[in-house]
Amino acid sequence: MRRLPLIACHLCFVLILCGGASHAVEPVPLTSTGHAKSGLTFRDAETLAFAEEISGQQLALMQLSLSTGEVSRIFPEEKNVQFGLAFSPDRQHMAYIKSVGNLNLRLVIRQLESGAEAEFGEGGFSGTQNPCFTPDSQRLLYAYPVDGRQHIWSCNLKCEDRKRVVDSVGINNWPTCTPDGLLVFGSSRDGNFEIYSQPLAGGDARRLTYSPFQDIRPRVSPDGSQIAFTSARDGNYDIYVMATDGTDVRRVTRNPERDDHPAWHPDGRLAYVAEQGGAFEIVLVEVPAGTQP
Amino acid sequence: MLNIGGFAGRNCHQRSRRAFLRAGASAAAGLGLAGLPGVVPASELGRAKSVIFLWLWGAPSHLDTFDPKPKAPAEYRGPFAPIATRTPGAHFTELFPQLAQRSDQFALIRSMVTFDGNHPAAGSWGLTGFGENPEPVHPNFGSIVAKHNLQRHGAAELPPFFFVGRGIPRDVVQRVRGFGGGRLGQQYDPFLVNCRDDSSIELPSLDLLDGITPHRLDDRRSLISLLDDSQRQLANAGIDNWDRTFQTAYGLLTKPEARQAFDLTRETEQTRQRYGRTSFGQSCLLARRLAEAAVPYIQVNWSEYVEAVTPGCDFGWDTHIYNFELLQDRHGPILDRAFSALLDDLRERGLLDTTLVVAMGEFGRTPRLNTRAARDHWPRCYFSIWAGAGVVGGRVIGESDALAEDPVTPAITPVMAGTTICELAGIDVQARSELAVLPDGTVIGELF
Repeated sequence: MRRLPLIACHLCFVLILCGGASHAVEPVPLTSTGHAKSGLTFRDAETLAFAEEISGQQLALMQLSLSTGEVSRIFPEEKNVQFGLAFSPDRQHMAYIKSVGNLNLRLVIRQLESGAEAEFGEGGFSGTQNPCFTPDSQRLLYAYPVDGRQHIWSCNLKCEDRKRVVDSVGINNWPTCTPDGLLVFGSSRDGNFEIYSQPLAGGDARRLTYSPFQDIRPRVSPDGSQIAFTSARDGNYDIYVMATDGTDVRRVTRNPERDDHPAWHPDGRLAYVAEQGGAFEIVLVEVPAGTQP
Repeated sequence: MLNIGGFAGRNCHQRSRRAFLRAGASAAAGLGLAGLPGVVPASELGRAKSVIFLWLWGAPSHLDTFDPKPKAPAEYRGPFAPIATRTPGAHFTELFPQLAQRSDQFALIRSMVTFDGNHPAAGSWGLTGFGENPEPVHPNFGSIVAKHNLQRHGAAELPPFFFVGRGIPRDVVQRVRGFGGGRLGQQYDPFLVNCRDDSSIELPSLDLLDGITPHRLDDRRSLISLLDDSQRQLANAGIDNWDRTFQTAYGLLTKPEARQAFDLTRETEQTRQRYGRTSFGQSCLLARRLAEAAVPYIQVNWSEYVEAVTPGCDFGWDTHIYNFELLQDRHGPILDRAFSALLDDLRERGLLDTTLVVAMGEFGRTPRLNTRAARDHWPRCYFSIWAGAGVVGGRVIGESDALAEDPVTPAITPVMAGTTICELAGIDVQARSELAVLPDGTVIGELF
């Protein structure tokens, strides 16, 4: 278990106490290891989970307490690569991806209270990615490639009853949902990565971004009104926010290095991974107000 | 002699793959390259006091890095947009914005061809210019440079040939047989140094030493006692082949001035940051320090294992799955930052004129996406990057076809890369003949 430097914790407490303030504040550092981090997701208002490259050979699942600054491994004994963590909205399940052999990865759905696990059992050259639970917590969305294309699929909590949800040319990735069932995702169907939406129940995809450079990793806000995403549209990777219809785009970060992997705190702030001096730390920031109500 | 035919390569799936060119030892001579066979311009011979060879182990996709094909069908082109560079008409993918801004400092070859689709075998081709058979295996280019330097100048304080990285390059099955001295002998194997993301250094040849600490390194009497004890332990254990590297390490550790070459804490925080806080980034910084210390050949290994997400492996470029994700989120940014910092740092210190920097993997990756929307092995076409020591920047040499499947210009082969490196390091045709290495090798004339 690690603790943040005292000053970082102090800043963290200050921001938590001020949470919800409308004025812009400097990003608050939440970690201090410098290691690469990805797949940020809040388990609840207190706990942020993510994957961290803890050594040159291992990605591990981590959890960070916002109130104490303590960072610990979710599976302390695990030796293999794990990443792609997601929690169900009802907080009953988590999903993640683990490496179990050479080019052999498994998607795991774990019942949090009992620890019972279901696995996507197709081993060998499998490449499930970026799991995300549906708003009713009854199914899991994930990206998975077949026949040279990468689709978005869903399965039930036993990793069964798989259904293709998004089917197009190119690479589809990063599913995320509004509470009322709008699926938002990234796709390269029109050339490079852009962000699209389509009803989870089925229907046509609608393109939300038009940038000659990458628009990736969308994340829908807890109230379903905004999408945070990473874009290289202004020269390097920064965090942006837009309304779920693609309007009202706002730039959240202006870092000459890379900002990526946004995740919404339940209170509407954003955590993301900021590259600073070639090192990677998670920071928390207020989101600038939009023009839409 | 140039043999045109076919051979059955094998990839990680153990499937056969057809390759269309098979070259004999004198293949390059028949490929119609510009320049005189076997030489670089006289003004450039021996200009490279040091060679930094960035070995992108596991094989980067050429389409997703430096040879994008945005007009190719979706099942080929991948999701990354092309961006303009400082080389007129040349585009890289958007994963390499910093290198795109420095393309006037390096030449890019897009017509590399190798002759095996397996990692270890292609690794031997890439590092030696030849296949693994017949035995004994040919020497790594670095071993040739090392022997030449030892013969001409005698032993220096630092070994003449370094590997910077975790270990001997390998896949999960076996090591690359052409990693070291080969037929020149084990005494020309590389000296291995591992550099971690926190700038700390490990000398694997001293792994068997217990209790070695910075404090003990500074306490000469304590250190010598420790080393003597350990040497006896090694001898008692019958580990003879460790003796040379152990002796080298011993020498380094007992000479503080030699140790300084490894000490990245002597760099400013700003310098360490610009390379990135990654193992590869800090390894590139260490390579610059070693070049500054006049080490003739430094091979920086991206990883020990080719495998990208296999337990116990270390994120190589072998992206049979997660190709786009790994390149976008990890490999691309790390390479873009570290390589750019290395070029800037060498140039700012006045070292780029006398340091040759080469970056390449062992082959390319399948232009057509595989079932898992990623890319497999492709020896028929790949890239290499060359900078410094008289190489003219801002050039693209060679061209691949519309799908990046094959060069449409004469192929450039690993033995040509090795011959060019050796010429720039001062090993001319006569010297190569005396060493009995790189027979009939030709120089990549378009680099000058």
